[in-house]
Amino acid sequence: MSEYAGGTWAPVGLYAGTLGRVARRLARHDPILMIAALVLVLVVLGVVLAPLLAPYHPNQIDLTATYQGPSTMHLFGTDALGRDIFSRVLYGGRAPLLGSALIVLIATGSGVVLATTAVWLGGGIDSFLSRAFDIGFAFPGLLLAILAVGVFGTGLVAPVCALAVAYTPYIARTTRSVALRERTKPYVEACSVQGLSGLAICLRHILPNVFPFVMVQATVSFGYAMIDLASLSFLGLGVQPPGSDWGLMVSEGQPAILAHHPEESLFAGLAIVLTVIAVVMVGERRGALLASEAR
Amino acid sequence: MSDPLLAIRDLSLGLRVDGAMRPILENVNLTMSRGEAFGLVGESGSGKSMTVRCITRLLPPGAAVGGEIVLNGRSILPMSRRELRQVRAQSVQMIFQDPRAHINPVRTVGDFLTEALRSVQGFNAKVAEKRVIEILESVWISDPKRRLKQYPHELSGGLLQRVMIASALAAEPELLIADEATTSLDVTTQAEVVALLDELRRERKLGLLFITHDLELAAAICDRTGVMYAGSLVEVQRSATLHERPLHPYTLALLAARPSLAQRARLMTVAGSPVSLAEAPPGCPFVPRCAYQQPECHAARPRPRPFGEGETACLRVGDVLSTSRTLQDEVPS
Amino acid sequence: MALFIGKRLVGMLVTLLVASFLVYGALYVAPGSPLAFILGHRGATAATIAAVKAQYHLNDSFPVAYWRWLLGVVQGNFGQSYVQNESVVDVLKPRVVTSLFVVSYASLLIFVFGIGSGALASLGPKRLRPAVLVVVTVAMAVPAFVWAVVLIIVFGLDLGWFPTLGQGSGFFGDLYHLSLPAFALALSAVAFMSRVTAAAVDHELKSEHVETARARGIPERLVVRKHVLRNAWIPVSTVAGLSVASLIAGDAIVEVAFGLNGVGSLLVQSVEAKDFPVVQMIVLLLAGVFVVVNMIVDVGYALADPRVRIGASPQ
Repeated sequence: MSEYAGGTWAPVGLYAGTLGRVARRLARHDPILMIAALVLVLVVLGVVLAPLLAPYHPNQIDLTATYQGPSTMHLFGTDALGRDIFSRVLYGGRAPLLGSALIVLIATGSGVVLATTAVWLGGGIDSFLSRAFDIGFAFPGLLLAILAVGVFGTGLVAPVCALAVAYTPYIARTTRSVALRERTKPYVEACSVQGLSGLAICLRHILPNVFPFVMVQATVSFGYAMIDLASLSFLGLGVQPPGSDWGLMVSEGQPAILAHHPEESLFAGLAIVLTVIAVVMVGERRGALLASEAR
Repeated sequence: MSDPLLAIRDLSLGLRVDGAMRPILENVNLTMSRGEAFGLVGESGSGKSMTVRCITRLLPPGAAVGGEIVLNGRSILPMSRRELRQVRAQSVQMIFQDPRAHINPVRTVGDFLTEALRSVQGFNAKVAEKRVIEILESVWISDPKRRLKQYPHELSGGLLQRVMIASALAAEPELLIADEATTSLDVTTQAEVVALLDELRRERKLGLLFITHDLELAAAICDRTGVMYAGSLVEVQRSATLHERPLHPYTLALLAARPSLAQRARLMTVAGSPVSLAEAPPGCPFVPRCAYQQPECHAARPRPRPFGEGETACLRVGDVLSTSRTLQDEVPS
Repeated sequence: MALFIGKRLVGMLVTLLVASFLVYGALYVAPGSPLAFILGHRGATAATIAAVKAQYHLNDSFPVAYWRWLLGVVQGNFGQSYVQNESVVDVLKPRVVTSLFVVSYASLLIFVFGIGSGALASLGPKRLRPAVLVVVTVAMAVPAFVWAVVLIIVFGLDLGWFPTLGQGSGFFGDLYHLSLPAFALALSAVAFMSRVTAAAVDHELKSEHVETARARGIPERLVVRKHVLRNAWIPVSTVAGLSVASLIAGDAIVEVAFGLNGVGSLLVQSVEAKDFPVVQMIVLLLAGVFVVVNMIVDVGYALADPRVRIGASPQ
């Protein structure tokens, strides 16, 4: 089809129409999933469009307007240096969202590849990798991240790499159990007999069946990655001042709490909690949908 | 029948499924005398399991039961929970299909066997254990003292089912309900368990309500057999007569569908699939699959009426009888 | 059973070895030479340099150096902090009690309130369930440091019931001062356990063996105690144990949030001060405790479930 009736806007309309239908179907089946997904979209949009939406530059210091409560000038108030908290919250989402996305991407990529290879090749390689993953489970991710920061310094790079490594075994475990189930199904042997290479079978048959389950887990892991990253920044080991980061803001705003200026910590904390709840809800509801479809 | 052990009158049942009431049983009537073995046969969805669960009121929450069930002269349905527990502990015992799922895996076999004796009937541990050991011997389990200390996963399926039977006997019931008790066992074990049930029944004059989807198994052990379809009884007869002269097209079809060693003819199947009460059309539920149907069969659901020594719900029983007579002539005896 | 424990012990040792390898190898992966990394930009006398080289066996080849260092650690030689000019052991000692107290307190909360509330939710009236589920799901998603801030605001600022900074003295002083940190650490885990327990008890309530017990007229409260709760305890205790293990890493966060002098806050301070010997040993220690707790959970599971304890052998 090389020509669309209605010109260039027709495909957009078509796409929006499909989205609308999907959304309405979801809303009828699971309104909570709808709301969670909506919240997530809003958060992501807010953070991505921060340069357009933020009324002030996040690092704009105004020592005459420190510790102000929420007002029309400053939606969420100001912090110790007179910086607008609302703008900082918008910009402060970039590091957690980007970092968590990277963590989940790397962990999912390596976890799926490793587990599928282990399942396909089986035998010694499978046991070796399973043992490796067992050791991976035994090391808490946060601890590994702290060690990494101790070795490579603060910022986002060390924590993201360390957490990606720490999350890989969890994705690998899920992938392995689903892939194992698929591998033993007769059609795989049939494909093999027909002369399909292992790689082709894995890519074309096993992975598509593994994918939905892994997606669910990746979504929930995104939430936990956000918590871990924010915790690290809270400890002062992640994003450093004067950068904006939700975890960092909770920490920086802490001394002001007892002086009755909880705004910075409160709104940054709220941003974290809202995003994590939305992400986890989307993941869990999708998981529940999947489980009931499989039955 | 003088003083029947069990009398089920006009039993109907509805279950709450996804918020709506789903009809399961309609006007089931059944009587059993003491020491009698009654086989209840039907396919999945026929309601045979649910019927017996009504006797002990082992139903999911939200179930609506109508009609009357009289066990040993006492009416079950209006009983209080306390009275019901008494009945469950003594008068009637159930044996289920999958013993491994029905026995707590983290408690010993001994604990399972003596639990009801200790907690409901108040026996002390030693007396309960002695009694249980005697019963284990009567169900042909060797080395009973050792078995008491073992866990369910250490016993084979057949052994575990006999443990289940032993636990039922320990309560000295008058009615024993076996709900597909042999279905999950392999054929040889099945034969053992069936033989055991038969002997026990005769020795102790137990009433045995035997549920199965296997007509022949029912015939082997039961004096009378009832056939259920779509939530009601369609035929009740003495087992031997049922096999020779079925009074309902469904029974006829079930019998004809069995592969016979004597005849190497094409396997007959019953067209269509069994329906549950909720899915059944008005009129006789078997109509969509019935070769004998007439306009009168579509009107209302026919209720079983006495016919000879048995009962049948079929309005065209005369036609059914002539067919089965022909079949009988074909089969070399 | 002995075989089971034996296998687990071996697994535990392997994991600890890998952890120690990681912790030691980090020295060589770090930017700069190991020596420079440990000493940082601080000036060092020849004596100090010699001491560092001896401690970490830097003159030996890597495998030998690692092995010797490991032997030293096992014998209690944890090294020296060049920032605080004390042995690592001396730096750690006073702080261990505080961390232990907070983690134990939080564990108790998880077991009592997490499991208790879950069991009650499952066995109790059904009408409250949806509301409880929402509250629990939200609570699970709140990180410990946000709980810390919320608790400080509510209890420290508004209600003034609990102190928010520092530690008291004596047992009850500790209990009072360490309550908020323990709550902050435990809350999301309590919510999680609540959900897990409710699900496990729900599952058991519907199981066939419970149906059998009811069919034999066993009184309901006995059925619940002996069959429902006893069986649900197996998965619940396992998950609870793992939750406790995860407290070990989260402890650092509440210690920093509440200004406590524990092992966790020392870890963070040492990272910031680039005091690597301390960082190294604390990470190894915490990883070790984590591994040991996991093993206890595994063994506990085997003890509780006879299907694992006694091999399956149908006769």
